Amino acid sequence: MVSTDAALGVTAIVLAAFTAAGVWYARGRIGSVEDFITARNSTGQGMTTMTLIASVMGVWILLAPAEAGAAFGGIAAVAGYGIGEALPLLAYSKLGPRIRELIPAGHSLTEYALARYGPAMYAFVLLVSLFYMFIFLAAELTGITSALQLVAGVPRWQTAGLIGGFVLIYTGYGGLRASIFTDTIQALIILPLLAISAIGAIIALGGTAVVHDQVLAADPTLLDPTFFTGLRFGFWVAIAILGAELINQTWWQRIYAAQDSPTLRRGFRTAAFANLLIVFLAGLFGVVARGFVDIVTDPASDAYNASIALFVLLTEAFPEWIVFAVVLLALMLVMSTADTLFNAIASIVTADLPRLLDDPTDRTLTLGARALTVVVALSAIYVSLRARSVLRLFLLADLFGAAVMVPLLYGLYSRGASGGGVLAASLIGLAVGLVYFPNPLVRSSLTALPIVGAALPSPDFLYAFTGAATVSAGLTVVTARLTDAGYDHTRLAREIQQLDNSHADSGGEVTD
Amino acid sequence: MAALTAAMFTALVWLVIGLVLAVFIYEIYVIATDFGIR
Repeated sequence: MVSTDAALGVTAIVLAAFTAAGVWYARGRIGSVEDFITARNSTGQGMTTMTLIASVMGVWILLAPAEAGAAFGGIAAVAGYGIGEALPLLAYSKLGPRIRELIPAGHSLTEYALARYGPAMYAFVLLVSLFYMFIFLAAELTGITSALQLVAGVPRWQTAGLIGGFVLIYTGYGGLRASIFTDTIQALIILPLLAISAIGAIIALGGTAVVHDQVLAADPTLLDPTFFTGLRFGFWVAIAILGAELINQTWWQRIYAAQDSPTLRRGFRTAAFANLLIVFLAGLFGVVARGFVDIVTDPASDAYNASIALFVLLTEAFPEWIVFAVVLLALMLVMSTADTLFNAIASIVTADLPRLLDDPTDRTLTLGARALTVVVALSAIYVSLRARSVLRLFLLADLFGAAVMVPLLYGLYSRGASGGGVLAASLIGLAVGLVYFPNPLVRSSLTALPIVGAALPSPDFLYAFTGAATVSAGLTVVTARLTDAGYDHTRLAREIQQLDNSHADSGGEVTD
Repeated sequence: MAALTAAMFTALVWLVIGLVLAVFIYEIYVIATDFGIR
């Protein structure tokens, strides 16, 4: 076990260094609220790719993919997880240029929802998106506080306070620009650190041949890429991640931050490939853990520890230097994701402030964005310390995303899609998903309903996510054909303007 | 058969680690180009 003082010392030094870097970079670069929440056309391909990797690769990659590898289907499940992480980035490499073309002065997915579909769909997308991002943020803080408590005995409030406080300083001061700059450095540390940790782990465990034999002896299905249970898990988790990430404001911010559309395309594609590799490698730790330490994979057992398989392996089988490397890795991962989400949540509300306030000045909006960043940070720290079951809500947030993704984004291409039609499609898709959703809270609520309760089918994540996604998508297409709203896409560029009254470069001719 | 699957596992693990490092090196090159360092 690493000493508490050493872990706290390393954490404080790393946090202070990145805070200084973020503040230094943002100094003189925040001229308006646009710089704070959009950083329009400012990042080249390298920074775009790096921020896309660092933003989504949080401390969760040390928990969830390893759990999937250890308990939900071995290498096949891990491969599905990796593909699931790559899909949304590939989707946005196509959607991004279209979004920039249609809404050159845009900021957020919710302002698009309002302009394209009206207030009802806007409110629904706002709730779903904020819910997902906040759960993501709180889960990140819960993950890192639990990890440091396990490997170094650091009290949870100290970890949450340190990370939340330092990240708040540079994100509150430098906004998206500081976030993207620190993301770039963090990703440049995360990539080699992950590789070095994996190499160190292989050496410490006696080489890949020994690892292979031990895992095979523990459970042969762990290394079977055609193992049905693993493939099944990989399939539904890919849909879950796709849905959640397609309603993540983080991507919309980076679509506008990229220098131009070709930069955006290359950045998103490279990040998709990198994220697939990162998640796969992190997931392999869970598979390996089964061969070397006692991992309890029965979720009904009180001793269930597959969710922290990597850290169990870490504390029981690895030398201290590898534990330190992974602690450092976890810290980079959580910082890069927390700063991104602080700013993304603040930006989504800031983009709406001009409608709520009476003709606010740019100074008022920038101040508002900073104040919102503080509120988000403090709320996330509080929730992460109080509600440890926040991870259970993660899949529920994913389900909402799966039901909203196609209805929301279909309107970028379809003239026929209408606000009422896509909202109905989302809600019906969500209802189908909830009927199959295995969450105890959801299940007990539905069971209590008359008629519905008795007719509920057996819960199953596969049917929940595929049902939500396919029913909402199908109904979106059908209602668009039936209603044919005849929407004029050039309205989006006219209705969505920059917040500081300057002008964004036109995206060019709009095509339907 | 066991030797073959062991060899495939070894190849897969080192391929993934190698590709992670390759992405890292490529990105350093791209970032250096972005900033006009190269």
